[in-house]
Amino acid sequence: MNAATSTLMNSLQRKIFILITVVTCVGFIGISDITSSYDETNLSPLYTAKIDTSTKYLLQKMSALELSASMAPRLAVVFNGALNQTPEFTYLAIMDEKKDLLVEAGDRPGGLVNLDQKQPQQFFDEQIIHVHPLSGTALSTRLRGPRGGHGSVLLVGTKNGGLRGHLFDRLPVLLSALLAIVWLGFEIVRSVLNIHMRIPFQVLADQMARIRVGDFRSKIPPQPSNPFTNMAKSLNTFVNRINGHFVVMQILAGDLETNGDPANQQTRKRLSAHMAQLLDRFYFAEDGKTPPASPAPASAIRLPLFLLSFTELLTYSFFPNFAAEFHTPESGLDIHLFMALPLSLFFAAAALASATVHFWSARLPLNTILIIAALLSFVGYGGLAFSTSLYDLLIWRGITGLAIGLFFAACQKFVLPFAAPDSFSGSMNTFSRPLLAGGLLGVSFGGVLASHLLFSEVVLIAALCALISAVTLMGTLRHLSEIWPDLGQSEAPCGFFTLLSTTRFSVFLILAILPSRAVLSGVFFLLIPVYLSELGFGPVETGWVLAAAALINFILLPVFAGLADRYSLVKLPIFTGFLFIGAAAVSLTQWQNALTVISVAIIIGFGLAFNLAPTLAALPKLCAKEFSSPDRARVVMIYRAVEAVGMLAGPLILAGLAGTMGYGQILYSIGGAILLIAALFGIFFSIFRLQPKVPDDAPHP
Amino acid sequence: MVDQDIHISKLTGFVTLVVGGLLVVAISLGAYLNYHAYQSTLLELTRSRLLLVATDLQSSLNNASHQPSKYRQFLVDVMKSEPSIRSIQVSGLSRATDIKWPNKLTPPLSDNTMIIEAPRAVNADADANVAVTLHYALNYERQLLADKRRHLGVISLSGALLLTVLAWITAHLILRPLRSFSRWMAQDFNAVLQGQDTTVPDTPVLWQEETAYLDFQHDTRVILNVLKEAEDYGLTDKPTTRPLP
Repeated sequence: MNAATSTLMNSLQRKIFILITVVTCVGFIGISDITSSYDETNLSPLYTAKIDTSTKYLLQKMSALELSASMAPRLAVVFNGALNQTPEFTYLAIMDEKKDLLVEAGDRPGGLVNLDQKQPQQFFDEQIIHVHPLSGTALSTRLRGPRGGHGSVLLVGTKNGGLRGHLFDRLPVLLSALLAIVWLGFEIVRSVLNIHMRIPFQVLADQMARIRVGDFRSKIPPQPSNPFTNMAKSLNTFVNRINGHFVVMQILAGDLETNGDPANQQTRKRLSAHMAQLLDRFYFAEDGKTPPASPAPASAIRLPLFLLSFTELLTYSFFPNFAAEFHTPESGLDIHLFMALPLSLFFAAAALASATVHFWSARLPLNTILIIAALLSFVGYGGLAFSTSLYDLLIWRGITGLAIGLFFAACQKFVLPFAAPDSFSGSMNTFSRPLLAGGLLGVSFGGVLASHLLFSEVVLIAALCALISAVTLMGTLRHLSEIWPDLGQSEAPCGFFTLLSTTRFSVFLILAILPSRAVLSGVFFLLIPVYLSELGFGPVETGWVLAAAALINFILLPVFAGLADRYSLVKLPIFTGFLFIGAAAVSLTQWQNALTVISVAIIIGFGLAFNLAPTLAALPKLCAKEFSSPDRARVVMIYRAVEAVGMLAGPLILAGLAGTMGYGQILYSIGGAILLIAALFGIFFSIFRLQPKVPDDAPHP
Repeated sequence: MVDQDIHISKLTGFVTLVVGGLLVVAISLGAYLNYHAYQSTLLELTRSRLLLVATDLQSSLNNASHQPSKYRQFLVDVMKSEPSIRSIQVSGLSRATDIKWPNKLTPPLSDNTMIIEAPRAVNADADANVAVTLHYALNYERQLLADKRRHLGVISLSGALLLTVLAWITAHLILRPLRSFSRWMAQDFNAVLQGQDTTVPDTPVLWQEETAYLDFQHDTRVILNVLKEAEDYGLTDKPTTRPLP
């Protein structure tokens, strides 16, 4: 028997992931494949009719021309015109009765080499060919030539599978939708297995670990039925039995003490000695010590977080254009400002929510805040879908901002107790990874939906997703509360703004956080969607560009988090990130085509990836004192609130600039400003350390 | 069936429900996108074919503007070749008034009608610059689309059902080791508590959970012995066989 190499839980999860992938792909691709033969059968007559009609009119055009070598240039012009006009044509040629080609245009099929030795029909293995005998039609009598046109044929080549090409030209859209569905499946199943398999086993494993070290003080609390229910009952029975034995021994010792019989004194002493040894070695329920509580797993909120991030980003590929639909000249607002306003209001509300979550969490349990926020986001998106004016749009967007900000802030408070200061950035991945994954899929899937549905319908789907998120959250929290009754209880309030008086922290927030988040929201959520739309690209393409930047962040985030945690690499990546963003913005100012936009998006996305994880990792250094206490939540909430302020400023600044300058100049200005900020950041933090020096005699926290 | 078996069956059902739900979403989306592609291909083929017809008619009328007697024949020829064209409107003829064919039939404008206008182009060789508008009844295309919807519905439903059943069977097989593990662990631990012999799973490789449990089981036996000794030797004058761990 070999030693264990992997866990049963991981193996089961992996197999279920494979099941989801296979079943979903088979269903998704199968439906397309099975129906493709149906489609081809039904559409072929129309396809053929189109080619026949095109051929008929081509013959009509040729009717005025003579079939001779001297007319070949004019015939070639006619053929080239026909190839341009009819995309189904790939090749046109006239062959006389001696199998000589008089004229040809387009891509000659590979088989058409030895004309004299083969029949025309056999030449075209690679392409569907339509052969029109010129002498057999009424038109052919007008095709005059040295040989009278008799026996000549018009060869019309059409692309093999041309109809299939028509039907499958949206394959990339199908694939991105499939990816979103499969990933969504992974997240749901991960959550289901987490709650119904991993957490119950973890509870069991924790109890077994306690028993192994001789701790019999706690029992497994009553849990909802799970695969380990019987084992949990057995463990509790065992703990009861042990404690029972000890109680019996205590009673016996007491009896022997009170009995007073000298013959029993020997036994009493022996028993007391053994009991003392047992108390040294074991912890019993009756000894009055408090058992250590195992923490609720932070990963439990992964699915609702993923779903709500998915929901929010679902609208980002088209939201500025959605807002523009409400623009009227009577509003008196510049169109760019009009598009930026709802976005900025959203982040303003999110900043407010982050800043006040402390206030709320002192009054309401975190669980309740999370549920209220999720339900509020459902209401917000629902209202947004039925907006009829700018005011509606602003009100509902503000509500969604408040809800999403509150939800994310509360989620962080949920995760924070499990984040160790020395691996803070990596620990916060529990929060960041589902956020980025949801965003990555949401933005690309939203683009796919928006290319087929009305914008308001996609927003309605977002509302539905928010509702699903709320329901999932309620289910998860209800389940966890049965195991951890104290989960998400209210906290004592603590000061919020006092930290901002710390110079280093404030300078860090202003130089490292504000600009990068302003670039993030301004460029990705306003400039790119609007500019791509002006270039004629739809929400699908916009979604892909945004998803590409999100994917870079998703991949690089754990890398930079690891570097920041392990090697304390914080200042250099932030500085390098700024250089990337600045250099990209300054050098790629010729916003003339989609390729440049994609390049800008990818390089800026890369630059932001340098910034995100290290800025988080800097917090324990900047606020070491707060991080050694529960006050760390305060630091993170300020950080998030400043982030949201940066994100609200970005679209407003860019919209203001758009009123006076072109996109190239805007990008140039952004680049210049970022490079200046990079220089200031570099100078300040090369003079001052992130963490102030602690005097040698100062007590360690 | 014991509690844990019931729960694993529920878990299997839950996983199947998730997979089935995803499948329904995936198949519905696939069917929707497929239908969309079919519809746009169908209408585009029809539109581009009719545009050719309209352009050709326009060209013929332009070139024959000196012969008004031929106009009607051109229109009749077009309607014969495309029976679904309900009417044709021509304007901009230099030597005749605008014409409609059929004369008295004004086509009802509805979703069922496709209107094709040939782009007016200045042709130096032509005598006139006419505008041609075709009104085409999409009955055949609508019928094709209805058939397609029916076809997709049947395929989607049967595909989703079949795959969901397969997913349920597979999920059942995948979760079988969990059932065996939880059952074995509970039975084994009860045997330990009752002082009976225990068994080790007869598998080539143990999962980490199994080895963790076996370590626990070993330590539990030691603890039980220690407690028993403490109780026994504390109450009797037998010497302790071994020191407490």
